[in-house]
Amino acid sequence: MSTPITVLIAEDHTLVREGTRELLDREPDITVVAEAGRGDLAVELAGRHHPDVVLMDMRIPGLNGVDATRAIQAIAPAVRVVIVSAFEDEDYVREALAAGAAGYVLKTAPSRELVEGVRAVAAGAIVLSPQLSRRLAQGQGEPRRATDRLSPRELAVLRRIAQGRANKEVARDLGISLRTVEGHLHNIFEKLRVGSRTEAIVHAVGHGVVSIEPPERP
Amino acid sequence: MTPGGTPRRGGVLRRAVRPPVGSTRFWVVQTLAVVIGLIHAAAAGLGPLRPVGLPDSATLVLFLLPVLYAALNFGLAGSIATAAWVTILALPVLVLSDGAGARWVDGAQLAGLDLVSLVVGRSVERERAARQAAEQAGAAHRAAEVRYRALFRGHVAPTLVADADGRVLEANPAAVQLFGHGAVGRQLNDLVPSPARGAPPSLGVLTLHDARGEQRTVRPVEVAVRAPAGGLRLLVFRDVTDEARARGRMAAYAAGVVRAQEEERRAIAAELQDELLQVLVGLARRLQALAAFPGIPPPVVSTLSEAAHLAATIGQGLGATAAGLRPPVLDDLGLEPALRGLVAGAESAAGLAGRLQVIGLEGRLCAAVELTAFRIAQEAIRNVEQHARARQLVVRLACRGDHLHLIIGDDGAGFTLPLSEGAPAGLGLLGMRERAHGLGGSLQVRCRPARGTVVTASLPATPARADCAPVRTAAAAPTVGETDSVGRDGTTVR
Ligand SMILES: Nc1ncnc2c1ncn2[C@@H]1O[C@H](COP(=O)(O)OP(=O)(O)O)[C@@H](O)[C@H]1O
Ligand SMILES: [Mg+2]
Repeated sequence: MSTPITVLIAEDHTLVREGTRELLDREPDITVVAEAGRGDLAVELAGRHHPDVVLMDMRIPGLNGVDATRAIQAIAPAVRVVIVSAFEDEDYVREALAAGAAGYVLKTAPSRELVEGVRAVAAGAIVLSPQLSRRLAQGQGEPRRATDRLSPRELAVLRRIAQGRANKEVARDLGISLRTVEGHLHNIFEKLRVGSRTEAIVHAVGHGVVSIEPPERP
Repeated sequence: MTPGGTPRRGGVLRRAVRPPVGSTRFWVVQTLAVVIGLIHAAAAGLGPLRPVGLPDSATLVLFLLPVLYAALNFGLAGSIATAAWVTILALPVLVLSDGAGARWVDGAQLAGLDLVSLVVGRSVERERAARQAAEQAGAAHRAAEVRYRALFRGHVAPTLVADADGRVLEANPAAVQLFGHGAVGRQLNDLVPSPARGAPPSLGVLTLHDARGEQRTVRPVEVAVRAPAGGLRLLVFRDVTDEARARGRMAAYAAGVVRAQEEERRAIAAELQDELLQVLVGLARRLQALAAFPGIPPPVVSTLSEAAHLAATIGQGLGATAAGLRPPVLDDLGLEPALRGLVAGAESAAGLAGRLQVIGLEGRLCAAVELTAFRIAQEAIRNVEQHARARQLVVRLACRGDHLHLIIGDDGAGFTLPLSEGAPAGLGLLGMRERAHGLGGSLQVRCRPARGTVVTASLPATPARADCAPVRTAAAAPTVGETDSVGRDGTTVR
């Protein structure tokens, strides 16, 4: 087996933190490397341990989840932060994604979703609880316009990118050349006025263009 | 004293037979008539005065003296009695005089005398009555003036009298108490700062400090008085201090109730959100972890999974209930996201097509303003869901200058405004209005049956300051976590 996925749990409620730990510890490919009961402590530990994934409680004392995410992204950009929150409002999701979170999972979601989410973000995908991506996809008219300009092909590419696929996989999936995929990506960046792959994904997710659900376990 | 001083009653005849027998002068006059009668008789050769040789017509003229005197002094009553007496005195001479011609002349003279007595007596009486009426009118006028002046001075309502140009001419003591002694001579506009120029003055309510420095609330009512020289302005102030205080107390009470309710909701929501929900989530995770324990028989695994799912579902319900009581998004992210949540909720709950427009809103507003706007929108949207049978819902939030305008419109059934008819409105509409007023704002419901309803609230757009900053995420988390977690949980490294 390859090296396990390392996880940091940032959660102030002891019961939830311990339950989450027990849950993840049952998974052979996941290892919890650290726990924090405060946001600022989570930032410090993320900088020290560089875990693959941080499960970040939205409401956590010290530094709230979104601000802590921003801080972690600043000191350790490779760390994938998943916000775990009890709030379903899409504005929280947008805020979290804008702060650099790689996922937003509801606290009350089935435990499987959390486990799959850890795997998916570790694999490079962006993860949202299904009801949230549905809501974002319904969106609210106006802000969608920028992404309306994407062609169906570009949307297909963007969706797969958001699921954490590499360019090569996307090319194979869609039956096109790697160069064509890169060309599509370039156009997507132009149209959305973004500079990076992650930004494009966040933009698309935040504006309800693509909905991402944790991939089925292989 | 003349008997004419008392008012005369009855007709000419009745008065004629009631001569002023109480007056000495009347009897002097009658005696004079007797003397003249004697002279007359003598002149006519009926007595010792015969040799004097006066013509009897001349002596007859002398009778005019008592008759005129009585007429002038006693009016008709005196003149008729005297004339009758004179006639009686003159009659013997007339009867006994020789020569038919002279008798006729004397008779005519006597008749003339009686006529004169009648005419003069009457005109004297008339003139006297007129003078008396004039005197009475004058007295009544003076009495009325005294009464009205007493009314003006004693009236509890402060009253100012001003000329047409607004210069104060008079102030009653109540007005002096309100405005001080310097009020007379000043301009009305200086004393009464008109709240809205051109508006009828009765509409405004003024808060003034009276001469003793006490705060009084008055409602001025202006009465235009037409007077010969250009007109007068009469300003009466109704003291509504007690009413205003009572209303203020009611408003404070309502605001207090609303505050307490909000506080309670916030506390309950926090309890559900931060305690119970977390416990259920922890429970769900533990049960799921247990299910993954090696060697557990499959039926138990599925039962554990179900139990975990159930716990999570209850947690979800609690979260929704908490959000309904006090949406965290309002405190955390502000009005716009919170309104978006409301519109989205109406869309999914009532199948409405919702639209949210936000214009000119930058940054966060004072927490009280955000909460008030949110609650008004929440109640209005609930009404749309419950009553309107609408297809569309539009919520608009516009920040213009220092005013925040919140509009909730629907294209539903509409209704006839219960508020305007004085019928008891539902608590919803009343509460919305009360909340808006509580912030110094206003609320308007425009409604056309079958064309929908538009609720407009205008609130002060106070920006978030230190003293009314929104409560952001971490503050709502339990404080125990802050002190506990570092020491107890610290780090656990594997
Ligand atoms: N948007 C609306 N469309 C139609 N009718 C309304 C609307 N809002 C209020 N009403 C009417 O006004 C009444 C009073 O509303 P409200 O004060 O909120 O009390 P409640 O909703 O408890 O009845 C409602 O019963 C309803 O008949
Ligand atoms: Mg109602």
